[in-house]
Amino acid sequence: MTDPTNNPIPPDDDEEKKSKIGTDEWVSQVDDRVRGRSGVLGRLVALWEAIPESWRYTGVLLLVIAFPVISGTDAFLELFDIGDNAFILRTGVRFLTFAILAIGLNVVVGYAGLLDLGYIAFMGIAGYLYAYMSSEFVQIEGLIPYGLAIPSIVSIPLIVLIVAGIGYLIGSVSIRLAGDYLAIVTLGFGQVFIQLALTATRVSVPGFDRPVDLTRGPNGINNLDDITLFGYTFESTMQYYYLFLLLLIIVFVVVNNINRSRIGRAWRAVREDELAAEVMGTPTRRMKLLAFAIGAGIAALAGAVDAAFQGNVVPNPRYSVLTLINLYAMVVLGGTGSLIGSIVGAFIFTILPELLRNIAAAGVLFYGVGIIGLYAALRPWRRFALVMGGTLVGGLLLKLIVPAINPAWDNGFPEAGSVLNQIVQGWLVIPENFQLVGNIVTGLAIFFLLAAMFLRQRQHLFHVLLGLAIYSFAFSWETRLAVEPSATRILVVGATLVVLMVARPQGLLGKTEVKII
Amino acid sequence: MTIELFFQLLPQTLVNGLTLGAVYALIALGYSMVYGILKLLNFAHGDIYMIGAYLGYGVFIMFFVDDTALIPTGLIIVLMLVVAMVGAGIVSVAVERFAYRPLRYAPRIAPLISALGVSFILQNLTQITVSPRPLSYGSGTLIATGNSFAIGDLKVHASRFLVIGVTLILMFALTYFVTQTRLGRAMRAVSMDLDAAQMMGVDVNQVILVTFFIGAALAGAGGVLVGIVFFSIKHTMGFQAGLKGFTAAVIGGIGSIPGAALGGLLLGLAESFFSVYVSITFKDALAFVLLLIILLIRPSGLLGQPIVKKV
Repeated sequence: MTDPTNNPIPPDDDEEKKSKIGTDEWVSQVDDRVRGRSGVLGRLVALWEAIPESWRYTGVLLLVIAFPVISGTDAFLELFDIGDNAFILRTGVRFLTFAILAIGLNVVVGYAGLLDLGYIAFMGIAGYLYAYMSSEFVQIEGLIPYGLAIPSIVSIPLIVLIVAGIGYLIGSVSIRLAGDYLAIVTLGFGQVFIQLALTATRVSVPGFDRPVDLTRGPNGINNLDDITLFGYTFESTMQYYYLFLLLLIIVFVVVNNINRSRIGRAWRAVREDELAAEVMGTPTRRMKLLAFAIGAGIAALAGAVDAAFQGNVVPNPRYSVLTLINLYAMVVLGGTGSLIGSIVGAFIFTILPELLRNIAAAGVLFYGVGIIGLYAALRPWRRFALVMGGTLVGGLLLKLIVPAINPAWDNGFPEAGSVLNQIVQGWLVIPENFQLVGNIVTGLAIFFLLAAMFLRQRQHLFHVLLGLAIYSFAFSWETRLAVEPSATRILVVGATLVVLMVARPQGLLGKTEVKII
Repeated sequence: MTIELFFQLLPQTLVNGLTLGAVYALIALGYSMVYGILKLLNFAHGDIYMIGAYLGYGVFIMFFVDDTALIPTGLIIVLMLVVAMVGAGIVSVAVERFAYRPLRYAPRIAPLISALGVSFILQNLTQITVSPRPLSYGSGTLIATGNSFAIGDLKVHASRFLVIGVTLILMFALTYFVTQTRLGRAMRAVSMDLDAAQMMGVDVNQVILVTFFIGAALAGAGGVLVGIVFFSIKHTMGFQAGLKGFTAAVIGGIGSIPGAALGGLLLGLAESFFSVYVSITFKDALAFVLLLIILLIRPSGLLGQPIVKKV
């Protein structure tokens, strides 16, 4: 028999296997961890929080209001080397539209906790309703010869009401399904909508001899009227920018106030524990339906005004699942349940892909995120220095040795965009057929990274594999990814999503969920 | 439509529906198994299926030089299936390790978004490294165009038998694995109650990895089979297929393995019949209408366990 002191219970070294959520120590530390930000980021946050709250909002708002003017100045245009700010303004309008949509989605997903995957269809329905009401599309001989042309002051509130009603109906059918099933049914609703929009071009309607074209299929309906309010017509991008800004502020204030009222508290109660809320007398069903309807109404507002701004409704990809995914990314990234978070998420997800159009900027982001990620993952920093230094020196050695053996192995010249690219390419060994090699190395890079993750326990091997991964990722970027910006853009967005979610599952501005079991 | 025409089209529609249904079932199984264990909607699953199709293509061009096969085509098909299944499985395990495992105790929606990110990555990586254009398995190269069997008046192409046969074999293998082996039992235990299984000494991480591997292997086989039957593959093919597989899984009752197979078959048959006899334009909408109807009648799917609320 062995001596028990010599054979203690082995320490549980696999920390991540255990859920720390719910243990007493973890709960008691929550406040410390929220407060205890240190380093550069901590100081910046402290500085930001020292400004009174009302000043912060006013400052940001003033900046957003002044933005179209600032971006029109010569200094701004020269700094970014562009001719005029039309594109920037359009991106701005996109951001504001998505911010409104994200707030609406936040009401459904963040406040009431309902996973609504048909949300985008409400925007689409509103777009089509606006098209029917404000273009020459609807024509009935003798009765309506030149389209309906309903004034915006009537049509927009009407659309919001109709769509909120549809949201209520869809909700009341599907809300008795729990959790994920609700998600699936609403996803189905969204799919049915887009399929109808794409295919309902020859529908037989009672009272008409010929089949009626309801949507004009994939081409959509064109020539929608601009929005006119009290005799003032919104025409230019800048005018729409301010219209959307106004709508965003209104939606924000309204939703914020609802959230702080009895209704908001009821939503949170339903989200946290539906059964408990019901027992305490909350009308859970009515509260959920209300969230559904309000979300749909907000989507309708954004959808109708967006249709007017674009001047057309085209189903794909504007009302497709892809847009919905983007919206979800915004809400979740910003933090479900946080209104400011939704706006920040919308900002990141409309601006980031545009910035990535510029491949030099994308390169800086790629290397920057990579190096920061490594720095965060490798503690203490000596390990980081070891791996980076080792990779640099190893690369230089290769650069010396390989051309000496066979010069043909290092005579490829991929397009070098920026100074950074040139430096990195000076360090890499790039063969003539670098595109083919680049494809293989891209696969190798992922393999090295995976191998490194799985062999984390064996430190030396881990460091070597990581170094190989860094080298091959740099190679892959220079030879393949930087050459095809359109796909790389989405690739980087996807990678950002995964990394951000893993790093901060509750979103940027979301509250850490404390579960006491 | 006359009665004669109806009967004339019936056998062909049935065979098409079964083929389509078999593929949907293969995709749905992976969705259902992962959901059963982690309660996670793995939206990257469709792209794993796409990866399978591309790996199969890789094997295909390796052994087809100038339209002549270097080894017997039957062997090539087997190799394609094996490579696609193992490759897709490895990719899926890696995805689980990186994108899902860190989020296992996070809010429910976080892994969903992470899955979408993975889907973007897989699609665009394939587009960059392979080709943005559709690739062809070549019609009639693997299984000659005339190679068909007659059942009565109906001629059924051999590739249809291949799809249905391979699917049946894989399903029997899966059933055996889940019901008869130790790991299969662990899998069922984890899907019933993850925490309780862990307390009983089941290695939950291992079970989850195996689940992801098997689910992805089935989807990978589905990808190759689709390539063989419909010839063409594309890097975006995973999205729509993923939605269909997902729908099939839910129709059958998500989390239930026989349910996924049944849902897939039903969906395939329904689509095939609907597009022949009613309207081809509303084919894709049909899947979801069917889903809505079934869920409203049976909220947990055809073979799913009813949700019991515990307080």
